[in-house]
Amino acid sequence: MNQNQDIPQVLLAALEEADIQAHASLEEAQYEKGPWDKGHWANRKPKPK
Amino acid sequence: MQRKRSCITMSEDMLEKVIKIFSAKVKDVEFIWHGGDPLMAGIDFFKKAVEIQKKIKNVSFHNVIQTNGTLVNKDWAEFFSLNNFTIGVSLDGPKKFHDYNRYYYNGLGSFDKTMEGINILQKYNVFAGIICGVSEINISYPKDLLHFFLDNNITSIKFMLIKNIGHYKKAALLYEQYYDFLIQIFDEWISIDDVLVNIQNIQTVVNLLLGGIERECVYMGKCSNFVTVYSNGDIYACDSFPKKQKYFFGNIITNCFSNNSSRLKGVIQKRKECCKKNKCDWFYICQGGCSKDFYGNLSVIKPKKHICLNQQKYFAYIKNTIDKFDLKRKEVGL
Repeated sequence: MNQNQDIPQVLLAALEEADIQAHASLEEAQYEKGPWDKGHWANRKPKPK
Repeated sequence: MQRKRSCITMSEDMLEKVIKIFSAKVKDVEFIWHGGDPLMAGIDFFKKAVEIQKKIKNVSFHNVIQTNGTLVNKDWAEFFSLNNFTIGVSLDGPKKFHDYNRYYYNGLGSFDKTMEGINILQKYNVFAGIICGVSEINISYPKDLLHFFLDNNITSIKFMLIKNIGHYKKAALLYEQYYDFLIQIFDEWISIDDVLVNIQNIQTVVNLLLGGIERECVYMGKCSNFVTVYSNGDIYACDSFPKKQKYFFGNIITNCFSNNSSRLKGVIQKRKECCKKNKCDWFYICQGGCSKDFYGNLSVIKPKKHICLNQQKYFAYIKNTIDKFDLKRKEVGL
């Protein structure tokens, strides 16, 4: 594996998600208490069909 | 092997007290209904719970059920859908693995009914995913497990090292084995490369490594935020802890509370300070880790070295893999 290899889509998606969260946390300044502050399946709602 | 059958359900009075007490000072609260199998309580029990919750204004309730899925039918699924419940099912893989540890009191395996339940939940779009108990029976087959789930349209998965309690026959595994298992799952996740495949153990670490903030409970460092309430009103720490006196916080009815909750909070804080003092490179990920892994009693704050080492190996493996790709984060505005 090297840096010229195609980047897996799962990592690109994870990066995008992390970026959104990082921005949101700054904008909302709610790192200590936010929608991710849950257990088990709270962040895993099924996607609408 | 046969097991004894028992079902102790919380009374309606107790249910009302529990919901009122735990929603009294918050804007949102999550109830995770566990059992045995929580559906043994019957659909009227949950209808009552929702009825009580709806009478309480200005509080957002979220209900999560972790079930073995065997009792799920159309009525349950409609109720879950109507009331916005989130349903996780416990499934340990293909029949030969699942039935080894999960069987009825008469000794028959529960796999077929569990899969039937999952299919119904999927049809009603209330199926959140599965928790796969990892034990000696399935730990050598990470790829087979993952592909079995995907072949059955199960794309949201969490692996969990099972506790050596209850009806599990042989559970004791070394942490080294478990984290090696997760590393193989991670490699397969990368290899499959499907963004719809959601493996919680992996994605929470990847997310944090990439600068995200989505944490599952074991990496929150806030174990004292979770409590377990039993049918008799006893309140204990998170149910990952054994049900022992030192984790007893109090009782709903007697209104008598110990200082164990504060002690647990204090120990978690000291543990975090210990990690920072040791300048652990991975503290930003694990926040001290899951308390059940670290606290033999409420006075011990030192990490268990073998758990830390294996967890660190897991984090490092994922980070090294990510680092091999040229992933550039966008600048976060300050």
